[in-house]
Amino acid sequence: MRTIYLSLLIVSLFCGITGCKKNSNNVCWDDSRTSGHYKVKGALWGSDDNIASSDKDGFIGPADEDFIPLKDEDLKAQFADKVTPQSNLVPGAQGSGIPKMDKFRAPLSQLASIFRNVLFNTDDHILRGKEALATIDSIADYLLEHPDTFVFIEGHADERGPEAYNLALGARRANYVRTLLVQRGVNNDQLHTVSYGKEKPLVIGHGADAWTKNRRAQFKIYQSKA
Amino acid sequence: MIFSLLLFGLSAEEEIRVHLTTESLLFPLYLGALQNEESSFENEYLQDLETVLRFDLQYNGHTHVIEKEGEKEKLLLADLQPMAWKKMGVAYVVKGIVHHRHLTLMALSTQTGRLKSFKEIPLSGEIAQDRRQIHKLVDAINQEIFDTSTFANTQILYCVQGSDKFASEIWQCDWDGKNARQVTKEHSYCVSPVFLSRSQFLYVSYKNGQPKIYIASVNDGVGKQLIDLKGNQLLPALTPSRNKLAFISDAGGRTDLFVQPFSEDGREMGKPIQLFSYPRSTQASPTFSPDGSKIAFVSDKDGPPRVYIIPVSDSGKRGEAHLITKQNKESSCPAWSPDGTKLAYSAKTNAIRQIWIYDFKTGEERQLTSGPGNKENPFWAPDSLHLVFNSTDPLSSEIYLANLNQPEAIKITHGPGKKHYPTWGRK
Repeated sequence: MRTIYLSLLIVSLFCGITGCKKNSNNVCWDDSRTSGHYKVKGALWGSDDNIASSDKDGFIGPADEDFIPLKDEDLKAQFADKVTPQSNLVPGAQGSGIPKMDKFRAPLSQLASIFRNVLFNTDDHILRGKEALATIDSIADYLLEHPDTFVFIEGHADERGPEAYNLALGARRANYVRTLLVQRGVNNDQLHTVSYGKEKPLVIGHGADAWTKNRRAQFKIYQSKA
Repeated sequence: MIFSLLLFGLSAEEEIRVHLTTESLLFPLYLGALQNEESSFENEYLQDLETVLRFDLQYNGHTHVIEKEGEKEKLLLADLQPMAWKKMGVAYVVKGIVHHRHLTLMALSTQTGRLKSFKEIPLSGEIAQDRRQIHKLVDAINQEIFDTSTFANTQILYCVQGSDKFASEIWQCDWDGKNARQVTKEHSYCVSPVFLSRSQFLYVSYKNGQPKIYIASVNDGVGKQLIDLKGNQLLPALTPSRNKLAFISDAGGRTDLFVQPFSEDGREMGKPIQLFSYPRSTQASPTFSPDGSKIAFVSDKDGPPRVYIIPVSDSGKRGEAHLITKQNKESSCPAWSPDGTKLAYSAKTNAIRQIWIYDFKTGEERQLTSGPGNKENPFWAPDSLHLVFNSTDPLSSEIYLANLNQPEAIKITHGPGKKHYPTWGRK
């Protein structure tokens, strides 16, 4: 584990010093516009003519990105706020090797002691405290040893925040956990996220205890060789 | 136990108040009983028609309907004389005649003496069908007399969360909450609908696991995925001209603000653009300015969530986000008015979320609502005077209708389920 940490630190330092502008999928962000045109789909609320192409100056993204990222340097900074784009493998899509989300199950028996919920502070998406990070370490260790295990990380919020904002907050929490696992060497393709906002409370209640337990990331797993 | 029941009982009866900027400007309007001339309709049906008319004229934001009385009803049988009505303190009179299977309305302004007769509308005898004709007629009155945008013949979409905790379907109703019907039947979690046209809408569904944005018709409610992007997609918002879609996505690893440009006929123009992201922050709830040049959205980049505005730039550089809601510590779910002058949003006010209005002309924020229940997800009507929102307490969540000239909000949804995410349709 320590070796992995060390390797990641060295790579990160190298990238920081050399100004390497790559995201975690090794796709160049800057100076790599495609010369081609992005094919657009048929019309959705107009006539359904033939497929056309469009080009918009300054907005042609890298060929293998499915969106055009911001060019801001601080968003790619290695130490400020590490983020990892979502895996290109879509659960349930043909050829992804990953089933639809309804095949993912809550971990049972011994696995339940590894894939434990991790809890967040109010309106926070960062895990604080040794216990939560120890849980992340255990999950990372397991996933490194079991590359055939896929995980859906669910992001949840307590009942107090606005419902629309909580949907976004849940996504942020789930992605923070995903990034922590990737930083520990887990293959990003094993990890997927879903936000439920405050709509799936673990504990029904209107007090501090319920709120604490409901501000969580929860795990559902699928094992292809199980 | 008794105390809490008493408390809930009291709060359920307490009204949601709307704070007006000035004294109420609602003009007194007299709506006479519908006169039945050779029609075969039952009285009950005629009373239903009158109820629809009464609601539309009571909550149009310009008039309040005064109580019926015998003397005025007698006066109504004769030709409408402005002076006689003016002496009685009536500003407007609306007289309706049902002749055979048609309804004719006449409106008199006692101020100007102008009498306008509106084109008769056919009646089917089915109130569910005819109420839309009435809404159209009232739109014509509003437009003629008050020179306002039409809105009474528009629809509202909202979500109803059933007893199964994680199931929410999209419903549609008229602006008065009537004609409510279920649109989607996904047995999934469908939220945050937004009208694309009178017959199509966008919404978020979890039917395939992760939340994605779908497009559907109000007729069949069958959703087709709109944006092909990995991860979670949430909280869609459209420009009035439908050339840009804003949404929240975690494709890049944070929850960022994205924009997808569309051509006039609805073709995706290139890839979605990551418009705003910020280290260690969460973005949510975009809403476009009417011309599509700016977006108001929620971010917690500087502390608790508040509302910011950024230009919709095509430079690829992150736009400068300008904080506008400074009055309250926590603000969310902004909605830009169609006339561009106001932003409605929800802000925690003395521990309860109330609807607030930001005025772009003065830069001032004012509290619009008070009373029990957390009020969230405001959305403006096309006239920029009315808005809908959901109000939630531990026992229920219902959709309310308010306008800036009326001192109380009206509950327009009923029945089981938690109603939330209302959105107002197009003209």
